[in-house]
Order: sequence, then structure tokens, then C-alpha cells
Amino acid sequence: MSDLVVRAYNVGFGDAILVSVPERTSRGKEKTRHLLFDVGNLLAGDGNDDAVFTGVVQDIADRTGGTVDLYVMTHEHLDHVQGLLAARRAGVDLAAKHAWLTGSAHPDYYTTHPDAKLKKRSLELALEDAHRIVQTAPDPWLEMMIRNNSTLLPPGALGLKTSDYVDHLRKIAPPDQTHYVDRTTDLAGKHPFSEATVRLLAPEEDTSSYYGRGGPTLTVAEADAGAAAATASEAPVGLSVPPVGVDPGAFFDLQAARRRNTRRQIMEIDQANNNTSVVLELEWRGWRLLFAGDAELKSWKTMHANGLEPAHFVKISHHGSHNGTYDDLFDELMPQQSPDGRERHALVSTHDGDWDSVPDADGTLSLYRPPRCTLHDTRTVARGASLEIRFAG
Amino acid sequence: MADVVAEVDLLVQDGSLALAETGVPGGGAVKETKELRLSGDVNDRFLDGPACRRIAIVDFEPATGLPSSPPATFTPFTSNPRSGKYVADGDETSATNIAINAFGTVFQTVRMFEGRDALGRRVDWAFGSEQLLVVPRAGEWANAFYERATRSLQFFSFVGESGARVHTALSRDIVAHECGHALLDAVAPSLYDSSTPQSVAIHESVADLVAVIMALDSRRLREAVLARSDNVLAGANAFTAIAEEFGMARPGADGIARHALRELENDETLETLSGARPHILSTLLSAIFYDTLNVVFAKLFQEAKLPDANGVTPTPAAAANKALGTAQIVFRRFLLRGIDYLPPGELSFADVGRATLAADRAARPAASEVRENFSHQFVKRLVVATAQELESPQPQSLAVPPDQVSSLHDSDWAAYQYATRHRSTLGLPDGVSFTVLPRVDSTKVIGAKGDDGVAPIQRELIVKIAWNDTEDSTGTVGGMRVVPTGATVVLKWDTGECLALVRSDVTGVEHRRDRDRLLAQLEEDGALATHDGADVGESVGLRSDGDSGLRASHRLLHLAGWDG
Repeated sequence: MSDLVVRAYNVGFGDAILVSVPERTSRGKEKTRHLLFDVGNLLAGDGNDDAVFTGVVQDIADRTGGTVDLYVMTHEHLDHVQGLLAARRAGVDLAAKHAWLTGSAHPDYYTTHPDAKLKKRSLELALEDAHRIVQTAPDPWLEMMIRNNSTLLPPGALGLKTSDYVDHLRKIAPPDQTHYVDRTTDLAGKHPFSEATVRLLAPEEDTSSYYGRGGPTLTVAEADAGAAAATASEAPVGLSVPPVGVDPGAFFDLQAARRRNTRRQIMEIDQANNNTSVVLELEWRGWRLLFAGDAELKSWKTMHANGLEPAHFVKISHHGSHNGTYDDLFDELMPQQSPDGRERHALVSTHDGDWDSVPDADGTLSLYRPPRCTLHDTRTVARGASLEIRFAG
Repeated sequence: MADVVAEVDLLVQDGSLALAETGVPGGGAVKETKELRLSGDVNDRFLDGPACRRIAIVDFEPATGLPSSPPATFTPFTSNPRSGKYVADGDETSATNIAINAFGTVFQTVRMFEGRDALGRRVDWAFGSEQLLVVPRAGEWANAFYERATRSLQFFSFVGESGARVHTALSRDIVAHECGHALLDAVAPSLYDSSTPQSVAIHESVADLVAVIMALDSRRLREAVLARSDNVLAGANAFTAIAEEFGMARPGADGIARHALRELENDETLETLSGARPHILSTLLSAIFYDTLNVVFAKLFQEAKLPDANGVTPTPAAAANKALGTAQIVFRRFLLRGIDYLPPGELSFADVGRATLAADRAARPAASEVRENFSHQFVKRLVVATAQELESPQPQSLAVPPDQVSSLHDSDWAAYQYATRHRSTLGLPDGVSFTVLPRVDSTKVIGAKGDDGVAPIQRELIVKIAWNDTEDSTGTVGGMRVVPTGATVVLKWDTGECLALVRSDVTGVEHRRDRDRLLAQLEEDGALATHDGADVGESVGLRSDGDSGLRASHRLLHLAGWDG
């Protein structure tokens, strides 16, 4: 019997995970179904390297015959979505028989979810505010966050056609096999598996719960004309010195506080987007594998409320960030002793030097250590290469 | 040096609603002309902005969020160029009009708060510098707030349920309310970081009541409300409905349209509001004060209806208007002078009651009727078991010789000697270190003008001593919690006699239980700042790893904050 193989590629700061699942056919033969998660990396720093996708996607295409059985886009962050289009532009194409995209990526999602639309609109304004801030003064952290969440920016901002990446993923599978999924989606007929079973633990159908209470934005919703203008290459100009009679220290402190607030808003956007991650549980011949995308604490709490099961494999969420693993639920997910005595594995797909706290080596990653499980790390293989984790059938 | 004046036209209430159904001519966006007055200070003047030494507009362009030029120009009078006017334009929601309305309302609120009919002294902002910034167009949000860290009042705008844009800076109530927070922070800064629900609620209640006083300050609005309510204050009217336009534009959490943010007239008790969040809890204290206003007005109205010295009986409307004009002065003194007597640290509603009664007794020893009614409200609403719990002593052992009052004001050494000498009387526990805050010199009007046209005044020295109590807290945080507490001593400046000693009482088991409950609610709601992001210092959180008391809990009170 063949093994189930989880193959994780080192693509820098991002995810590209191919899961090859051997299944018995009705005729008693074995056929391998290929499940691909994401493919992308961060648009900043050393972790950004579009050239890596050519080789990685070529390898995936070679292993799958150019078509994966199921492609899953966990969420709309560039470190998860840009790889397939980048490879295609380099001449390497990959198709899918089925494609699942996170539910809130549906083109009509915000017309049918007014609460989420309201919150999204507020965050769009914050993102536009942030864009103007980095035009005025360089801010690498903020710029990287804007780029990562730039699906919310108007087309053409940043010189990127951000939505192109997601649009490409909408089309890699036939239209009738392209599905926008959430926890409530009836999966029957939407995937290729006959022996393996799949369950979606997240996201929630209404993603508004992933957003906070909202907060102020520096610009108002009706000033779209001005906001659009501000997304052009030329930065708008405001007063550089306080008006006569205004305390200069207070004036500059106030502006600094407004910028800090925008950074907080951007952080909230980023967290909310992470929480829209598709979290998929795959059961195969007694093994339970959990692929968590970049789910953060709010999503984990909801998953816990809906029922979390111990897993033999965990794709560590959010590249090993401390906010991708809920410490209080960790024993539930991976008890001290394996309930059935089987070996257990964890995978972190990450990169050094992009974020101060990612991966969180001393905290989060230290949880995923023997005797609890074996930790596999994409940093241990060369850029473009992959590591394998096998589960005996 | 003569006073400097700026003329402005200010909205009487909200931009569109308050007078619409009153039958008063011009109902709708009614304005009245006010004179903003700077006392003859050679180093202060009105500038474009508007701005002056203590208050300045900082405007931001809504399309870009960037700071813009002063939206309103100061136009000097030809005859006296230091005085002049800020001229509004024809667009009610223009940057100019919003800025003038916000500045003028803040200016008038500060003037009212510091006048001799209230504190009788200038207050120093809690943020330690001289100028309060007012941001009339801060951005998009259904909110407004005072923020100590940015030394500012910030007013946002939003699109309401009707589709119309609501500018919070155009609401007299909201502007006065937020300015009330800034002023209370200047007088009682320790409330900003309270852990006791009642302490947090006091901030909200006082801010609401400052808005009521500012509403009462408008003759036009007084007339309109009395006309609408048949010369009574009981029942819903423009004074009890804080932030009417805002409240109508934003449905409540249950989706049901509401009349305003909070109704100040209610029958709540501490029992019916057990476990309520600070915003809601505040309405209990507000109602006690509002009921007192009712009592004062009713008494004055009865007197005003009597024939005058010439035997002429005034019309009910004239009598009511006169009575309400006087009632607002009496009420302003009653409320705000009590605020000045508050001890430092965490406070309970009963502490506010004690301070208010002590301040009123110090200024009007013979006028006990209002105080008795006020005490009765605290008992009726189960804040205290008996009225005696609200009494505070006047220990003459705290008196000083008249010639030592000034040195007690000026000299830290003398002040600490004084507190050390009277440790036991002040209630200072043995061995506990303490702080004597900068002393306050206040001169207040304490009665009606006499035949000579001069009102009697009283000069007071207010001494506040602060120290910390500690307790164990529960909840997932657990650990130790510091509970700031303290006492206020008030001496009559001319004689050195003790007018009042007010001690706070927040270390009881019920207050500890409430602090634990508030902390647990915040934890459950995820409302406590973690150290994930930057700037946790500006967010509600724990004071430190070793102190599970709250920091910046004032932020829970943003106009549409924790309670939505």
C-alpha cells in the first residue's frame, strides 16, 4: 500500500503544500488524488521571490500530470495566492478538477452579507489611509501589510492588479467545480475523494464575527473621489507645520496617534483575513490531518466551540506565529499522549527575517516537539525544494 | 486690559432635530449668537482656527485625512481689533461651520465649568500642557471621545440609518459631553484609570450632566422645552435626551430605534442595575441629579408664580422660564462644586453624594431642603442604606490659623506636615505612604446678588491626599490589585476653619466584587489590550503585570464604545 504524502515546499514566506492521497477505486485498484493548498509568498523582504514558483509549480505539475484533483485557496493573502499566476506567466500552468476558495472571496459575498460589508468598508478606508501614510513617509512594515492585504485596495493601487491573483484561482477549475466554501458548505459532490473524508472546520459563513468592533478611519466614506486620487502615485499634501496658535507638540502627537491607529486597523484587517482561512480536516485510514491555513485565535475559538478532534498531523497555522496556535486548546488538538498510539507530526511553513515574532520559535514551535510530535520545517530544505511527511496506508 | 470677545453663532442643540416639534419659530437648525470672552490677558487672543491659548481647532481634510488650514477666520472689529467674530457660511455642514460650532461650544462649556457659579477657578488639563485640541472632522466613525494621550477631543461623522451624514461636532450635547470628560479629568484625574464600575460610570454621568447644564444655558432651548412640556421638566424632553440626533441615527444593540443615547430620567436602583456596564450604570447617578434639578425647579417655579412687589402675576411661561434660568445656576453650583470636593482615587456613587452634600453645605449651610431630597434619592435607589452614610464631618481639629492657609497652599513641605499631623483624622492607615496633591485656591459665588448688585463669595482652600490600598483580585488574571483612595479637606481661606472632610469608601467587599466582575467582563469580551500590537498604553488594559487594576478604563466610555 502506498503512503499518504504531505509535501511542503520552501517558497520563502508562504505556503505551498501538496497532499497526495492514495485511494482504492471500486475496482480494487489504487489511485492517488492530489490536494494542493495555496502557493504564494510574501511581497516583501527576502521571503518574496516569484522565481521560486516556476520550479515549484513545475514539480507539482510533474507529479500530478498538470492537474490537481482539488485546489484549496485558504484565504486572500498574497502569501497564499500569487504563486500559480506567477508560474503561469513564466510558462508553467497548473489546472484543477475542483477548486475551493474561501467563502468571502465570492464576487457577490458582500452584497449578501451587509454586516461584513460594513466592516469591510471601514477597513478599506483604513487601508487607503495607510497607503497614503506610506506615500508620505517610508514605513516598511506598513507597506508590507498593505501589500499583503491589498485585495481591499482599488484596482491599480500599488501598481499591482491584486485581484488578478484571486481571479486566476477562480478559473483553474471548471466553473461548476469551483466552490466558495465555509463551515456550513455541503461538500457532497464538490471533491474527488471516495475513501478519504473531508470536513471543514472554518471559516464561518458570516465572517463579520472575525472583525473587531471597528474603529475610526482618517477619511470618510463619501470622499471616494479624493481617496481614489490618493491611491495614485503622487502623495497628497497636508499641512507640514501646525497652524498659528496651535501647540506644535500636541499637533504632531495627534498626527502620530492617528497613524498608530491606522496601523492598529491594518493589523485588524490582517487578522480578520487570516481568520477567513479554510481549515480542512482530512481523515484517511485512521489518520486525521488538519490543515489550518493562517487561522488565528478568533477562528480557533469558534472551531473549539464547534468541536475540535485530536489530530495526527497539524499544518501549523500562520507560519508559526504565536497568534496562530491557541495555547489553551493545544492539548485538545494534540494531547500529551497520542490517543491511539500513532505517531504525530506537525509542519511549519515559514521563513526568517520578515516578522519579528514569526516564527515564534521559543513559544509556539516549542509546543510541537517530541515526545508530542515531530516537527517538520520548510526552512530545513533549499529554496524551491520540498520536504515529505509520510503516513502509512 | 479689557476682555477680548469673539462673536459666534452656535447651534442650540443638534443640527436638525431638537426644536422641530416645539412650535418655537425657527424650529430646526436653530442658532443663537454668543460672545466668547477671554479675560484681559495680554498673552491670549482669538486666532484663525478658531484657536486661543487653551483651546484650538485642528481640522483634517475628509478626503485625505491630512491636516488642513484653519477652516474659520477671525475677523477683527474695526473699532477694537483684538475682538471680532468668526463668520459662518451658508452651508451648515461646511468645515467652517463645524469648526466654529465645536470651538464655541467647548469654549462655553469650559467657561461655564470654571466660572464663579461653579468651580470658581481655572483648571489645569490632566495632560499637563495648556491647550486642548478639538478635532471637529476626525474621520469616519459613529463616535466621539476625549483622549488624554492626544490632548484632544475628537468628533467623527457617520452615515445614519436614514442615509444622512451625522456630524457629531454639530451636536451641542455631544460636544459638551466630551468636553465634560476633559474637564472632569482635569479635576479628578485618577478616575481615568479606574477599576471600579461606579468610578468609571461617574465620568459618564458627570459628562452627561455637563451636557444638560449646557443645554439649560440656552435661553432658546429652555423656552422650547418648557413650551413642549407644559412647564414641567418631568418626562422625556430635550434635556433628558442626551445626543438626540446621534441616538436616532444609530439603532440600539437590539436593532430597535432609540430616542437618544441615554435617558437621564429613570427609576433605576443599584439593585436593578446590578452587574450593568458603566454606560448604563451611569444613568442611575444622572437620574439622582436630574431629579434634584426637578426639585429645585419646582420650588422656584412655585415662588416665581407669585405676584411681584407691584402685585403683577407673571404668566406661567414667564415664571417657568425665570425659574428654570435660576434653577440651572443652583444646579450647576450643586453638581460641579461637589465634583471639586471629590477625594482622589477610585470612587463610588456614595462618595459623589458625600462630596456634593459637603460642598453644598459649605456654601449654603442653611439650605438643607435640596440636600435632604438628594440624600433621599440615594436611599431610595439603594445606593446607601441610610442618609447618615452620606454625611461627612467638619472636624475642627483640621482647622489652621488664618495666617497659615496661604503657606498650606504654596508649600509642599507645609502640606505634607499638615497631612502627617492629621493622619488619623484623615483616615490614613499607619505606615502607608501618601501624596498631597497641588492645593486648589477657589473663589465661588455663594448667594444671590444683594441690593448693591454684588454677590457674596467664599474663598476656599482644597487639599487632597492620595494613597493606595491593595487587594487580591480574582478572574483569570488574578494577583494583586492597587486601589487608589484618598481624602479631601476643605478650609475656609479667610478663617482657616474646616468646611469639610470627605473620605472615599471603595475598599468594601461589594466594590471589590464589582471590580472583579468588570475585569471578568472585559476578559470575556476580549476588550483588554494584549501586548500583540503597538500602543497598548493607549488601550484599556491592566496597569502592569503586578497590578490587575485597569489602565485607561476611561476609553470604555467613548460615546459608542464598549457598549456599542
